[in-house]
Amino acid sequence: MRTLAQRLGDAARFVAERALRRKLRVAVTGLSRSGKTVFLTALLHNLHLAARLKEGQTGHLPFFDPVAKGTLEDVALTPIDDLPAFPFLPNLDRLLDAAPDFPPSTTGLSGFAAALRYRPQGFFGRQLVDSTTVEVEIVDYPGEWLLDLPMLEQSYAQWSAATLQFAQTGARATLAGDWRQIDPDMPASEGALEQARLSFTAWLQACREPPLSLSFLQPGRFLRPGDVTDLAAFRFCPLPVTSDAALRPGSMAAAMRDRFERYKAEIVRPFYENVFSRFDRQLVLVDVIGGLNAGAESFADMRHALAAVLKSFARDDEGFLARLFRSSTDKVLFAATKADHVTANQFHNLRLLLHAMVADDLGRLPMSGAEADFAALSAVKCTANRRVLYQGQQITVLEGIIKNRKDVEQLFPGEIPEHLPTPEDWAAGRFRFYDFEPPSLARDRARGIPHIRLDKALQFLIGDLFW
Amino acid sequence: MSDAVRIKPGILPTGTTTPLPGAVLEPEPALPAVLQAAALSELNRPRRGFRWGRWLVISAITLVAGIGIIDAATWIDDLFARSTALGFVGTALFGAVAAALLGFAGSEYRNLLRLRSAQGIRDLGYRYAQSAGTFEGRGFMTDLVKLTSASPAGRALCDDFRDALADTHDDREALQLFERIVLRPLDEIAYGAVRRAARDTAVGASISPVGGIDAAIVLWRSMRMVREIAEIYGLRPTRLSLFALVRRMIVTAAFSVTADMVGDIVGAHVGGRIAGLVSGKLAEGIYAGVRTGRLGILAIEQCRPLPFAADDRPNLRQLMSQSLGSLIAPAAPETR
Repeated sequence: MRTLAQRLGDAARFVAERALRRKLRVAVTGLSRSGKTVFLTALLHNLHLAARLKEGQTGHLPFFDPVAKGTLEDVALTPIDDLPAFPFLPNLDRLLDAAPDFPPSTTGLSGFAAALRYRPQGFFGRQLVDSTTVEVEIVDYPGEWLLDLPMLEQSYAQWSAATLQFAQTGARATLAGDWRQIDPDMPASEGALEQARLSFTAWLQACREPPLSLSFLQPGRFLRPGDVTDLAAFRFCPLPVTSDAALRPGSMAAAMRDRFERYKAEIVRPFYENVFSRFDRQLVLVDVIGGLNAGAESFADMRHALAAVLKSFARDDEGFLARLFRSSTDKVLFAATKADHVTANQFHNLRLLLHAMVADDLGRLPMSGAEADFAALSAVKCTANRRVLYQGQQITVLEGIIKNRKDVEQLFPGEIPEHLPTPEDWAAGRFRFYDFEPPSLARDRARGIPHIRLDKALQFLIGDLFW
Repeated sequence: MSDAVRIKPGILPTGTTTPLPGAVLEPEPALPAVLQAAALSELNRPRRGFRWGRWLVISAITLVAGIGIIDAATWIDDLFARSTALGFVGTALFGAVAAALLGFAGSEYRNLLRLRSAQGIRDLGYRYAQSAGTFEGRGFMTDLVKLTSASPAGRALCDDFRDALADTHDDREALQLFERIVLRPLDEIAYGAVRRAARDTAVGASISPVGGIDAAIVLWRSMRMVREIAEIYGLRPTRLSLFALVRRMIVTAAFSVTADMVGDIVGAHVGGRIAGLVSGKLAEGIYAGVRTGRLGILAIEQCRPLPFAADDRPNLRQLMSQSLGSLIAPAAPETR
């Protein structure tokens, strides 16, 4: 029979365990193709393996303290509430396949909670419990959807005016579309509205594809509707109207205004409530290298899209989310992904360039007040750095299998500028960074996925929660 | 990089490049000449002015020797007073023990000098630890790994380090990894050596009957501790800091002898109670132990190839409570 003292002890331990438990949500923010899914897949796989390491070994995460100190005991994945589960295993199987491939782009919402069980090292924690848990919730979603966020603050007339003005400048002006000819006063019909949607969606798709490769594409759901089957709320496009109030009832403009409001209420808002209504830490992934590859206009457009999205996350009154959901974050990591496309001696410049990209023209960062850091990372490291002698000069080159080719080749990727590229930089055509095939990991699945600075990113985002 | 100005970015035709060492950790290249030069210049640095240090060492040696001899002479005289035979046996035993201990200390010192001085390594390590974003320290890291691999424990740790180090870790990150994966476990082993030495010295000084033997035990045991520490890290202190360490050993030895004598004198004049406090052999032993512990920490700081981070310095108090606590409760676990 257990004594009263034993029972009291057990109760105290239970309370302490609960008190030491930490739960937080990390918002992973990134435009489409920024590498969110592969980031999460590689991270989870490496964490799983790290929990099973022998003492003294640090696996692939030596800069993540619980792994370095050998205190991480277990990683368990559970789904979050009513969200579909993140397809971790299918994604991992693709990466670890004999013919490895990157996970496909995300088409819908999914999420997971990773419970990291560890042995506390702090004085109090050590006295109280043997082990406790940090639970990290992460939601994955198509990057396109992010750009709908600024629309929540706009009326139909405001959004139309901004979008039309944009559509008449730069590369966008060169793309024709039937939607440009719609008369706002024309009587509305479901057929005409559907035609407008199809035409505008096709136009957005053309903007996204090369050679334009633009990023600031609203509404984002038009490009990736996800699991929405009733597209009635999608039947709108920008029209030249002056104000929402003066629209003639029954006209195309009035119908589209109503659909616009429905779109905001039924499609956009639930997404943000799901993903961003509360989060504690934020990871902003930016495909800087893809932006450089796509050229001056595309790069500028990506910067514009980032600014529009990040403005919503500001912690003060300007920040839409902060006002709406009382969301606030105390740490934000801006990360340039695909760092393995350049040699390691360019990482420093990559970080500086990322800083220049997300800061406004006065050098101010979005989400001021949160502790911010910049990183160059790569969720799956596809290349190796080699020092070689070439044409009488010592240079560092990349070695790997270039995408859609067969053999290992050496590549001199050139330099990343430390500031926003100048017109001369663009004219010189100096940015041509190759994509690489993922490394073959099938033979040694237990060794984990080689990466660049995933562990440091993790340490910055959640390392302080481990006592 | 100025070479990038001329070489155009792009795929390099197969067979046009020659591999160079650098981006990854090389298995076993030769020691960079720059390190040797740095170490040598440290050793040969001319010194000016009156050598107070040397004076201190000489006077301390004289003091220890003098006191030791007086103490021993008194003890032997006592023995002779009882019986001549006892006196001769005592003299012979004393001479043998003292000579053996001093001989041991001497050989420990010579072994120590065979190891490489830490100074050049520490200077370079400090420089690379400051330089984020550079990749020039791989040769240095290789050297560091080679030195540290000299001991079996170091070799295993260095294997783990090689596993963890990637070609994308810059110099600072590489050193941080080395610190985390190799040095911290080595620190623990070195703390163990310090704890053992402190305990041995304390026990030895507590039970030895004569001041001269105390001093020899302190000298031998601390010299051996410094040599152990140096072997753990694969580096020895510079000759200069070694002198400083030896100086401390001698002072400790001197204290252990004088405490003995002062205790006797005070005991003779004041009486039992205070004498029990002042000259209790255990208190004297613990004092010698603590001094040895402090010496050990200094030796660790001198031998470690990279300086301690500010919040990572060894804690004497903790170390000593673990070491000397085991004197009172021998079952206490050795390691933290």
